[in-house]
Amino acid sequence: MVIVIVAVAASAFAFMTWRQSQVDAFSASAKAALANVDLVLDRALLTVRAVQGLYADNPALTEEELARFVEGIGPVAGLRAIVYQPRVLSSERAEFERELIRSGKSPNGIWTIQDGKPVRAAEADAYFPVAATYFFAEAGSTYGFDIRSNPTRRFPLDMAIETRLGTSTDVVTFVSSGEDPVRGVIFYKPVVVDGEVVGIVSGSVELKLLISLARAAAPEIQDLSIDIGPLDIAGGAPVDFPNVNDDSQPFLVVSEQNHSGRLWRFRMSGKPDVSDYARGYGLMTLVLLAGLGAAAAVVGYSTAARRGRDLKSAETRLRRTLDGLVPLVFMTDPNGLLITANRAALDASSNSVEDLVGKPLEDLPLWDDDPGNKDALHLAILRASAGEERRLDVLSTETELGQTVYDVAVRPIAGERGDITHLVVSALDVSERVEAAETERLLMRELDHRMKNTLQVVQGVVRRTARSHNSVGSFESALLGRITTMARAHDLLARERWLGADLRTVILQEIQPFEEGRSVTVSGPPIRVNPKGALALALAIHELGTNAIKYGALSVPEGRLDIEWSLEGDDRDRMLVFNWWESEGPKVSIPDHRGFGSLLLERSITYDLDGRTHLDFAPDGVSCRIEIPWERVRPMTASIHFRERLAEGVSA
Amino acid sequence: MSEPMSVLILEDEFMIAMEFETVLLDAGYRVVGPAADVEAALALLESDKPDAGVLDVNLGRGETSAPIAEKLHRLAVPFILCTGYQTSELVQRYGDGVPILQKPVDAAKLIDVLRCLVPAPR
Repeated sequence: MVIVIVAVAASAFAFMTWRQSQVDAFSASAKAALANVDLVLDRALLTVRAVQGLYADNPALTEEELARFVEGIGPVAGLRAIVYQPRVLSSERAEFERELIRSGKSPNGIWTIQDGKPVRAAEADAYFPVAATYFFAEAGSTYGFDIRSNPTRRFPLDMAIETRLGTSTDVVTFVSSGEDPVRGVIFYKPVVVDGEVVGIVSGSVELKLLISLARAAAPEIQDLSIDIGPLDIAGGAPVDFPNVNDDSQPFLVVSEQNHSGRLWRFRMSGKPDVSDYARGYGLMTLVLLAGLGAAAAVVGYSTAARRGRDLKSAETRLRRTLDGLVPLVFMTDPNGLLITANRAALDASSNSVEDLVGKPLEDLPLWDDDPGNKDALHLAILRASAGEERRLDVLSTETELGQTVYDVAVRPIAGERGDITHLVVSALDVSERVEAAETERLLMRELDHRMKNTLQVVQGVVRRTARSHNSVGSFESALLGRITTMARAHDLLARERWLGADLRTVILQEIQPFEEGRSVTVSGPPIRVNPKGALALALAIHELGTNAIKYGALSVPEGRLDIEWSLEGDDRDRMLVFNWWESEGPKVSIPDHRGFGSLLLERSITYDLDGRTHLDFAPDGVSCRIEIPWERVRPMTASIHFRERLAEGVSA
Repeated sequence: MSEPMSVLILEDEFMIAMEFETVLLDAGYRVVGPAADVEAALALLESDKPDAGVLDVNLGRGETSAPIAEKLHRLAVPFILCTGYQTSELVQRYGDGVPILQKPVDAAKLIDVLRCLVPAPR
């Protein structure tokens, strides 16, 4: 009877574990797909915003200048076009149309679409006709098309003008698409000069491309649809987190997000691939058999123990059965004092059974010392000796192989009179599952913070850069430099799923444009840094490099640059030290004017990372030493995060 | 002409803090800070009681601006919360009486909302 109950419990547990790992895997895929969508939209919006800044600085920008700027940023996956539509008042229409006809761009002047055909736009107090375009894809001409006269564009356009904020359309058919309709979304950003909207910059994103980019990140997703509509005010805030409906087959994840004032609803469905099923099935069988075998052996042993007969041979039988099991198995008395343990458990504890017998289970050297960790295990034993079955995650001590997370089950074994005679504690290494789940949680936390800040940062960069440059040309190149630096760092981080980046790679990809045959050395131990550290260091290197190529060692062929980094000090005092040395360059004089670049360099490291920057304009060459507390830039790992959660008392 | 109104800025990202500072100075406010974390903001509040606050909800590394929101609330100093998401706990707690701006915050909008809380005499 007892055997059957234990076996059923074990198989239910195995099935839940298996099922949960499938759900976790699919939900991780769905999040990766969403993160990809976010990344594409953010990159597209970043480009639109940079162009908006460019036009605000110079509304008379020519189409050639627009093309040069956009080409400098480079193609953005999913982005189809960047378009500028100036505001044309009714009194200015005649003159604007003369120019359109003269240049051969639009023989019909300002036009709109009626019953699927282009016609001259009716009189209105103001028009927003297409004046400059940059297409990343093959497309037909749209010059002169008045977006304001189109019913699907008018509402978001008027919202952008009224609120001065970015808005977007629902899914629309692009006017430029011709025979084969291409559908997607258009984002609008108003260009404001002296408090007045003088034009609109728009960026269009192809839906089909967006979906295929999202699916590329997650092959398990078989079907992905995106609906876009008005924000449902009554329905409350958008749901940020995917809802996993784990009873449906195939899995379904629904996520709602707010992009530029519209509600985007993503529905993703699919099945984990066959090898996942096979692995899951294998695990289930293993745990089921282990459960049955352990239960049979323990019941046999406890019966023998009760009757006071054959205790030695019962114990041998028990040990032999338990030793064949992959999970760690411990048997204790009702108070949690150890009676015996299987081979796997002894190996993991690096002890012999004699050393462990009679010790409270939670005091075994196997478990991490953290009081939260041990208390949770102790509590589970107390509950189990009262007849309850308990399951919890417990962290092991750290070895050179890292830390293990065990899924621990504590099961009471009842005697004939219903009293608890023994406890069976099994521990299954689930680090991989926990690591995947924690990685996902970290990813979401990082993305939450980072993604929404990115656009705000770009806004700041545009404003500050514009302020510190007198000519459009120098503003343009300084802005492009900073934006591409951020984009490069974001790309690197996205490839590493936002968990951190290799410092050498960050440095190499920043200095590569400056290097070009000059003597540059880069040396230091392999170190990974967190996203904030990677971004701050990439920007710092960009500013140092820009200065070096303009005035410093990299401005002459014989100049040298040496970059070195190291970790200095121990534990809490450990510092990441980064050194930049220029030599063999022109004689350095202290600059009389400190620009935004050196402000960025000197203050951002202190502000963002509690670090120190020492910039020295020595006559022989500029040098810069940056010191950052290691605590602030080390990448998060799942076990650190697990520890944090223990500290918060929310152990799983 | 009277003293300019002062505004505390609490924001962990340097570039954003600079952006807010520039925008507020242009609009005629005096800036307290900016502070990058709760500890720095508390130190500023020791010596300087601002007329208003602009607080980023999520300060990174799991920290939120909750302690400063609570302190300003007790001091009856009005404040604005800036956040990427509507669903944060802090937003739900103060949501009714406190203006919430979605990131990225538009400069013109920030000043409009701030002027409703505290006018900036010129």
